[in-house]
Amino acid sequence: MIVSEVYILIVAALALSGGLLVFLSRRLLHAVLALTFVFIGSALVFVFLGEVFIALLQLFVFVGGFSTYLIVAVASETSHDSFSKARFLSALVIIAIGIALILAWAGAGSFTHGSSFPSIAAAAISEYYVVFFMMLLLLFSAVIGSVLIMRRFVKLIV
Amino acid sequence: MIIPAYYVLALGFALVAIALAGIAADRNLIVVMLGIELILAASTIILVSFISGMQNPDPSGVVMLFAIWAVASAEIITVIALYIYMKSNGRSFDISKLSKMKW
Repeated sequence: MIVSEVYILIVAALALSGGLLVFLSRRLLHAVLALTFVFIGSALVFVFLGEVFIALLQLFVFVGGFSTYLIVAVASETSHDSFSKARFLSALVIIAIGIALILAWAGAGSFTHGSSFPSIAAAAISEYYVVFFMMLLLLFSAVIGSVLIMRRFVKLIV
Repeated sequence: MIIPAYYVLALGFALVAIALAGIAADRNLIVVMLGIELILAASTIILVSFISGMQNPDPSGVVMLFAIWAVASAEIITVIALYIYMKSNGRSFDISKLSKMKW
């Protein structure tokens, strides 16, 4: 077995164990933390495939979702004690991800040299701009739908 | 570093299988949404393995990748809205009790 196969097996074990723990963990906070293993594993797979830029984008996209889920998990589970272990853990993870993202942003220029993704993405945006416009509409409609679901709270706030 | 494509594909399909089984077994709305997020992450892995394996990648694959990310983001927005609504109204997160599409 060559070294690259060992690496991918370790990463696959990390991602698969994370995927299993999402459903097997009893607390929502642990499920959300397990999901990070999947995201980190998938980013490592992209790095092994030579697509470091996609790995960075993946982290950027999913870090927002992950942070949001984490906030939901903490909000639903923590009490009003002076020290909350869950709150401390989630804050620690968010800070660590923030530092990792800053470091990744600093090194993004050197990472993108070996990847053909940026040029392909630029060609895709100019060629398939209608599809990107539809994605924009999808996100916009999701925001509008969310506001409609929470209209009572929006009224309260406004 | 060159890794065999079938390992990556196997990882992607295994993640999809875990997520589908979990969604079928779990009743918590948030955990089901986490499972959907897992499926989207697995589909990204599968798609990128195809993109990186091509000599001249087609831009449509990249468009599909962006579409998956857009769907994942839209899902997160919707989940948070549903969570706040249901939490504030004291509704159960058990999806087997969610029979009405409109309240």
